[in-house]
Amino acid sequence: MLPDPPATEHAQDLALCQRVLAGDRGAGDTLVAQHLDGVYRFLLYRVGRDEALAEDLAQETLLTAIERIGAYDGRASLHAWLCGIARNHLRGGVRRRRPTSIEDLLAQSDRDIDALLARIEHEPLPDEVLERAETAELVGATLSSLPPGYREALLEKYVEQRSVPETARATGRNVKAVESTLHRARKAFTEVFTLLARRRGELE
Amino acid sequence: MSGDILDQNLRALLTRALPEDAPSAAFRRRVAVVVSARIEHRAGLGEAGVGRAQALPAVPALPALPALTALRGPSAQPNLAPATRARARRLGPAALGWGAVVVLAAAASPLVTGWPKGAAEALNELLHRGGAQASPAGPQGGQEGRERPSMPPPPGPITAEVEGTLPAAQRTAAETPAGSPAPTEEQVTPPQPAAPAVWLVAIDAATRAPLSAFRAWTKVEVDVPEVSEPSARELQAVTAATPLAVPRGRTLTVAVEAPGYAPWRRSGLRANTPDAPLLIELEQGVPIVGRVHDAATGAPVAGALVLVETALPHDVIDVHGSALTPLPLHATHTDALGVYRIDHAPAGEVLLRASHVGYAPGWSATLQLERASAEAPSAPLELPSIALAAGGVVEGKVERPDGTPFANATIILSTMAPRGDVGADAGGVRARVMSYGQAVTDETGSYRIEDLPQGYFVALCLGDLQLGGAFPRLQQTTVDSARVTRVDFLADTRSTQLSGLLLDAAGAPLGEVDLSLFQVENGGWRATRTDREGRFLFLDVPPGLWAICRAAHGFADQQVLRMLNIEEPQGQPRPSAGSPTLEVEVRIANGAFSARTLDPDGATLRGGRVSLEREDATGTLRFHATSALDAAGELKLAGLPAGRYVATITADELGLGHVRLAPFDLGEGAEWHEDVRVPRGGSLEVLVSDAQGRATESSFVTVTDASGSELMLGLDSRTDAGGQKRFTCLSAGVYTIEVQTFGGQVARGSVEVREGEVATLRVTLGPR
Repeated sequence: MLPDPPATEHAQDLALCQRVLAGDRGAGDTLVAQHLDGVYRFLLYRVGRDEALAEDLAQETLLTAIERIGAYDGRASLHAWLCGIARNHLRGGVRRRRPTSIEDLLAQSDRDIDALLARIEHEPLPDEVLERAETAELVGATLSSLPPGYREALLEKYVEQRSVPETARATGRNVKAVESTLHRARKAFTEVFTLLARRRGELE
Repeated sequence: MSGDILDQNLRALLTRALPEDAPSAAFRRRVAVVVSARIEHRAGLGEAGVGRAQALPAVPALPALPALTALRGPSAQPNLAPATRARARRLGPAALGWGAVVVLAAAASPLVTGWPKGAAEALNELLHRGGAQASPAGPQGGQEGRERPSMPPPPGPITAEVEGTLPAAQRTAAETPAGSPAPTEEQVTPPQPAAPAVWLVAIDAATRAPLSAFRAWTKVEVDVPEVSEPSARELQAVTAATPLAVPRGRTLTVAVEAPGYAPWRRSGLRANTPDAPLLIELEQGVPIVGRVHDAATGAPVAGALVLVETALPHDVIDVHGSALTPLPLHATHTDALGVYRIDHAPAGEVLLRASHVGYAPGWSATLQLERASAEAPSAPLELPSIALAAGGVVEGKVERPDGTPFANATIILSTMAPRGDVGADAGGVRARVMSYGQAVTDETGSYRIEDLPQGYFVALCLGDLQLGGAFPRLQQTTVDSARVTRVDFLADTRSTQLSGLLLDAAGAPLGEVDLSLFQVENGGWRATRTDREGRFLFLDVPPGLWAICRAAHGFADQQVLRMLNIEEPQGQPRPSAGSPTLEVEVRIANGAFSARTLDPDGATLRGGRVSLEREDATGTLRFHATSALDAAGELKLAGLPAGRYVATITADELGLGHVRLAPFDLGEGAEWHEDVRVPRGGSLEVLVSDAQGRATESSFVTVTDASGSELMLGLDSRTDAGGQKRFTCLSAGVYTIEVQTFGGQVARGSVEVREGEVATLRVTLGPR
């Protein structure tokens, strides 16, 4: 299993739950702003990119969460807890329609592409692989399996190209924490990405 | 080294292959609205803060559809008197029971204003008598107010008591929508969880903008025994919408109207756990114009009511449409030239209905309306003219057994078959508007109802509503255009009170258990619940063979506990005296049957239904009980007496076939378990036509398997307007089909059903 994000984030999650419990209307906006995208993406790649279904299930997930918000104890992150609920909804839906696992839902595999993708730790990816839709889908599916903090950390580092100290300043966290998150995010991404590429390409 | 390659690849992947997979802004906004409203409601602010959501008057409780079984042995009615058996046979499977439910459900609708005052209340009262509200008039009843009356005096006449099965008329059973989850568990009453609610959120389908003003109606559908909340509300603001409480697992019809938009309607909506928002996407619709003319002369009919039946929030409408007040957005009247115009008709398949006093209602063909494009709003679409023709007439008399006329009895005639063919098989909108006409008998006991459309009707006699009505009596009839049909009623007021005590195997009283009482001959039934001391009471039980059943899951699951033959009370009935009372004791045994269902590949299924037949003293198998999954997700029937049983497992809701297991002997207090692999199924389509080749509507179709066991699969065993009846998910095998018309014509045929295929059987009825 992937390591949980640091405990300080859970304090925020618990505070948000308290606001929900108190009936604070603004809590809805916060909940949607912080968690809808993650839950939606998590679902999207697990329903074969059926956007309408992912929307339905994401909404159901948040409503279930509000209903049972008292059961959230802060031991896992709120995102992980929400994904647990989403998974339950997914099972309900899967029983009816889609008896498949995430890798079965990814687009038609190309063994050669997947063989290359599975080796991201070892060989540079050629341009033609980067242009392929299968690659983008695998990136999306991988990120959807990670905590949202990891996604942010990876995008900060590789897309925004911010250094660790810059990120630390921008987010008000200490350098060590940012570094550690980034390290874990990189490791988790690589593991999940490689695993999904292998399974999709049916590689050994 | 590898770290550098990884960094390089990660950068390349995340900058060049990052997919666009964020949810849309419109979806985010929508969820924010729904989620915020839900949070507010959860904290208890919703109700208090609304104020603008105004509840319409509470709807009286709807009767549940009885669910006696689907499956029974080859000779199921040996204990019935020959005359009774013949009558049950003639009536066909549960037609009257089902008809009553349809009529009553319609009567209980708050949206129908044309029903006689008090009819719905009287019907509900009658059907639920024996429950808490049925305190008899008189000093002791008055004292206790609305409390349950104390148990009445010693036993009255009881003549025969038989255990056993229910005949054909009882098999309404299978027609109950299966799989309704348990509203409550039997013994444990949890600390009152909030009922699931439905949130209505309306948006413009094109712009996705929330709409702040709309009117909505909701109606909990027929399978509901009780509606505790008002089920119709007028909502004005989206974010302030009060959630509509819906009993768990029940289904809803929701209709929404907003000015400038086509009306919206869906049936069969389910309230999930937790509260589910229902997103209503309103479209501007299509402007239409058309004409209404007299079928005989071709002259235009002015002032005719025209409405889009497929968009009606009602399930029932009187033959003249005069009960529709105020006029909904999708209805209008024709002008002096017989021309009507509707600005926002819903796109898609529609069925129009026109009506006027002096004519039977007329229907358009099923029309496909194309959605106008937003950029270029089209001119109104001109539709074919609707012809109105003279209707049929039903008349008759209501008399007491001694031949004296019964005045002031209310008679209601309702069509049973859904009209129209709109997407019936494609799962699309099916026109489900029912037409009715009504009358009150005069001092000679006569009544007459005119302008009825051609078709198959249920005639319901309610007695004198001013005096609280009487146990409703039902008959079926067919109505032909411009012809008079006669339907007479016997106002039989002789009845018995049935007072009982429900005990568990150890002899302890069982409180708070749902019970139903079925009239074996014609499918009439009532429901009640035992009080804390396990006592129950049914008032005004007419003579006949009755079955006391334990019910669960909103009356979808039933178990026969005891059969009673109630005879006519001796001596002359005196209006002042109460009915004689019959005391019964009903004991529930402690055996149990459970099954684990497996799909054809051996994986565990969470679904299915088990039905048990039990062998009686003569070695005949009789229906005993049926149940879907219980609250714990188990397929289990408890409370079984010792004996020999046959179990049948069906899983048609999962798209599988059925299995009839070998007989097993259950000992006293024993438990029997089976792992059942349910095979894949095939489908069977039966097409019924008469000697002239015309499709025959509303014929009863029964299916018997190779071993001679009769199956009831699906909600309704009658053929549709096309003479067709479809059975999905039969296990492969050879089946015998029997078709019986309401007029008593019978035809048989046999057919082989193969896995994954649709077998078709054409049945031609002989000349009369």
